[in-house]
Amino acid sequence: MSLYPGRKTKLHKDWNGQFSERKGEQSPNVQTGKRSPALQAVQHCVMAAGLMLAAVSQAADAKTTEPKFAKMSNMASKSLLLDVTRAAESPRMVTVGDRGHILFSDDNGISWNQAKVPTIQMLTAVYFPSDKVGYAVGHDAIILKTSDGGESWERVYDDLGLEAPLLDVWFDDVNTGIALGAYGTILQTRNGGKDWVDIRDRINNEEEFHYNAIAGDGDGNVYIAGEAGILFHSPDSGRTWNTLESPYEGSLFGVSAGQGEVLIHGLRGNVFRSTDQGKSWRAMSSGTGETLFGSAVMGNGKSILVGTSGSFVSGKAGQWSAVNRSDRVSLSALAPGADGNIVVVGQGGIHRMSPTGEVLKKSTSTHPEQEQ
Amino acid sequence: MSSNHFSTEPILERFIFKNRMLICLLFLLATVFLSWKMVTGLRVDASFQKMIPLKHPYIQNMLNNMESGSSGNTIRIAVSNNNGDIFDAEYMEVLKNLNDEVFFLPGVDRSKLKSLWTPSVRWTQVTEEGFNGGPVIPQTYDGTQASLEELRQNILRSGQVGQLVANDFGSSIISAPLFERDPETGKALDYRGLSDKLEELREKYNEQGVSIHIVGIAKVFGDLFDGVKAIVMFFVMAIAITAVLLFLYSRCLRSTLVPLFTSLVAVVWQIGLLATFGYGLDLYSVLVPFLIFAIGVSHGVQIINSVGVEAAAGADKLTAARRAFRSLYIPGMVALASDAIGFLTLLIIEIQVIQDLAITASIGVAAIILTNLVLLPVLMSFAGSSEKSVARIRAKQQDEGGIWSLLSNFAHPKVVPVSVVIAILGFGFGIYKAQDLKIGDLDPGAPEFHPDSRYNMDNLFLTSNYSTSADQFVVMVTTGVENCSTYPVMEAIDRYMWRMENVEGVQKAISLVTVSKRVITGLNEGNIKWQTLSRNPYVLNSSVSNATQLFNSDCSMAPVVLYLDDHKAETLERVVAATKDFAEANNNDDMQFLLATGNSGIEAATNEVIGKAQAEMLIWVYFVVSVLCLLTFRSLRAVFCIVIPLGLTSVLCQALMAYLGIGVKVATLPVIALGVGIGVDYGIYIYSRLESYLKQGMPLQEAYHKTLQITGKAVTFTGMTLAIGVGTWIFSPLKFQADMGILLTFMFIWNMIGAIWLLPALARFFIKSENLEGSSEKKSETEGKLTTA
Repeated sequence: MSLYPGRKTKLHKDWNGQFSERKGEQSPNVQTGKRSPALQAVQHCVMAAGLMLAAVSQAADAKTTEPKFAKMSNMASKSLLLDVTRAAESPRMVTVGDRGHILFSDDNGISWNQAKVPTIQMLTAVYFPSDKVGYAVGHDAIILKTSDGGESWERVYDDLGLEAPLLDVWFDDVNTGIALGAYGTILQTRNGGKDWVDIRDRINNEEEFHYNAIAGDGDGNVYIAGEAGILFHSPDSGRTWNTLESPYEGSLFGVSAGQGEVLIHGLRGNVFRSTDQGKSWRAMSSGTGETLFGSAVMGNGKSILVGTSGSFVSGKAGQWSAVNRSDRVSLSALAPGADGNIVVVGQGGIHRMSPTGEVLKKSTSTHPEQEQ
Repeated sequence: MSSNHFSTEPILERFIFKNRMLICLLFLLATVFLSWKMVTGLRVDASFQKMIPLKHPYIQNMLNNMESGSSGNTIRIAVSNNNGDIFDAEYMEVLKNLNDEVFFLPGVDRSKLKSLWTPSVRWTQVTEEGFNGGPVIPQTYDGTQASLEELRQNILRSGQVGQLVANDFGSSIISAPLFERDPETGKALDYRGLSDKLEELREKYNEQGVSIHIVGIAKVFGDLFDGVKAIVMFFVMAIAITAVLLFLYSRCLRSTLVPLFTSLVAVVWQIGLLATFGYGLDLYSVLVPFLIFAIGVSHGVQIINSVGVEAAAGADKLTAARRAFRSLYIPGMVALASDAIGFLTLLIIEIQVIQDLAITASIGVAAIILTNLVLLPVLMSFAGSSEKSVARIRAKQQDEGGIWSLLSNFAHPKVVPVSVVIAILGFGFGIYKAQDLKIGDLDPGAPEFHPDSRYNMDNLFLTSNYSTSADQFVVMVTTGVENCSTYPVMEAIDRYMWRMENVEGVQKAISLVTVSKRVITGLNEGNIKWQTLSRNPYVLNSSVSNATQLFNSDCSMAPVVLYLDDHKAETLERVVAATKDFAEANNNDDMQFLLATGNSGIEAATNEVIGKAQAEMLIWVYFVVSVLCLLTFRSLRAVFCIVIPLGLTSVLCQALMAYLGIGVKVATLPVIALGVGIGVDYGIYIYSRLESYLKQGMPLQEAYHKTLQITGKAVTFTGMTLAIGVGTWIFSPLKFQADMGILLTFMFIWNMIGAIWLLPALARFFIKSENLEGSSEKKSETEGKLTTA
């Protein structure tokens, strides 16, 4: 891949699976958020080839002894972490990330313990429908479940052959939920993670764009946002899905819903807000040109968004002010702690910040039992 | 002197003194020839490979995988703006000019040169249409405030802050990878020439409102050579001080000039012989002429002393010289042979600079045997001691008391137990303290230089303003051809990197996995949820296609670069141990994690070689010295008397090293061999006299008193000349030479003290059973009371 100065380029996957460049003006389909059928056919071929080769590489894997459990490390809290959440009706915060790292904190993110996790794959998202039961998803389409508030985890699903990561997870209650991710992958469980059903037919995403995020507002409305601006709404806690008209053709990386509003956000500081369950959207000025990956609706019309280059956007919707952390790390997600401060995760691990974006004291991590 | 040696003396002695003119002529011819060789053939050698243990498996691994370009031999030039930050049109202009000049420096791999001004340094941004990117310096750059602001944005997007741009934006780096060999001519890189050119650039640009900080192995070598130049001055200084002391000692101009002259002849011979055999002088062997000169003078003093004593006894010039030769040529030969063999034990250390040091020093000692044991007495037989000095010696001999009388109490039965107890305490203290002795270099930066040297200040500037460490430990991951970017390999490298980042002292790890993850993230619109390896081989392959510096040309080797906090031995040992653990668990037929290269990898190998060689070398040097003493004196007691004081000095020297924070390293490891090899001289001279008096039936203390009268002055003087010869190194701009100077000075002085103080005590301790019985009557008279000065 080489980039030419001053020329905008679009990458697509060609027949060889090589990434090559296309001039922006030559791919009008992308501008409208649609992929050409030819492109899609190519993508399927790549995936098929990938599947075969994955089988080969799995065979090779068998020779090496892959550790089953994530390594206990004092540095886990400083490694790449991708999602953070606060369990329902509990002060406990849980964060997940690279190398199977899951950490939990009971003091609003000041100190963290590393959980015992049966994978070393990257985990991308975590969700706690109750104070004890939680789910985490990641690459290799791994789904993990905890029943003890995040201290120990079991593997309930994986699919290495899919070669697609799961990118987000949402649960209506402890038993019913949805995990979704790359290439239109969307799975549903109704029995607490025992069985997972592929429900890609229920959503109109023929191009198999990535689903990047899913969020519910607690009143039965659930939203999915993804690649190339795709946007879906379920009025019935995920049973049926309808396609929303997207205000944006670029990729959306996050969605937050609650308190009567929905926020979607993505590339180059684009944020859109809806107060009518996604029927209409208003483009908001975020005050930054950075890609925004994570968000949280804080109530009273306030919200916080985080993204690349340490960008931190906060305040009342429409009057946001943006700052950049001096370390300019990419931030992936945030969760408010019970103390009013914010735990932000991303590159460099866990960062504690004030609701206005001031950097607070570093978090520390320990792990209860040493394991080699 | 044992009588069995005696029979050979007259023949040699007669031959030499009957053909004095012939001998002089032969020496003249040899000296002229070797001077010519020295002037025409001497070269200064600084091959990097000579400094490293070539046979060590790490280094073998490194050499086998040399092509990969991870040699780390890069010059980094930080250009700091004296007037503000880098977003300054004038600064950028100066940076551009310097960048252009560096581009044309000989040995620079121009295709890999990196700075803000090279097109390879780019920024990227993800947009709705894909990537947007370009060189960090906008193509429309015109030095206006607007384009400088654009530059600032580009730099922030490029991820170069902490790499090419200082964390505080006060400076930026020009990074110039070097060819070890010129790809066109095949000639080895001229470090010295490059370093000189860099200095010219530094001088030129320092006047233009910027300050220049240069680090890199090539600069280290350049600065080392500058340090070597200073050594010449120390040599002149050492000669001058020695000359003054010699005169004060002998009060005779002839006795001063002749040993100085013969010692310098030995130095000329040594260097001339080196040139003849094709050796060069390197950073370590440049110190050998000092040693040779000092050893030469110290043996010369023994001869001068003896000649003076004989003259005082009434002998004429020739007879005095002959007698001096007769009495000293055996102990002199033994002492010098033990010097040479002591040096040769250094050959077991498989690092070429040390081996060369051993050989050059041995050659020098061989030269001394001829110049100072043969030429010197011959010359003295012509010159003779001056009347005044002979009279002085005579006067001194009349004086029964004096310092020697006082010192002879070291052989007194009441003093001996105290001495022995002190010696045992000394051993205990030394051994206890020496436990803190560390292997390897302990100071940050380039350990060759003082902490406040310009190089180390430059290094400090870089490490404190950039997020990179100067201490790089490189592990090579070898695979089948074209397999370096397969998932199982990359996955293992990824796990290895994380494992190592968890090791105390490792700051971060970089490999093709780092690049792969970055590229895959980029291909997924910068979403860090994709910042991991892909199982899809096409994705994985293409993700590393631009990371050519992080795998070799046929993708069968990928280096993992670990940036360390420091290069202390413990840090390196931790890294090595963790890597070995990981390799053991993960190496298979398709993939091996191999130690190690990078400056810290080489240092780890060097430390291992030195740690292993240290004990081995000590055993050898003591074994050899003991055997030589045994052969000479035919007595185990003699061996104990001579070797135990040396042992005490060695142990105390190690304690001193621990106290001063000097590690055992390439520079200091030879010190103990040199110290023991040379230090044994005192013991040999004293013991051979003492033994001869004891054989005459004298009681110990009287024999020792006589010994001191004859040889004590020469021995103390020897200690001083040796100490002065190496003591001047303490002021060397090169830290390792200063370290060697401190330690050798300590060893020479302590060995002298040990010989004068402890040797007689041990003699009483070991010899009392036999030799002393025979003279019991006398003993009861003289040894019952302490002699007073």
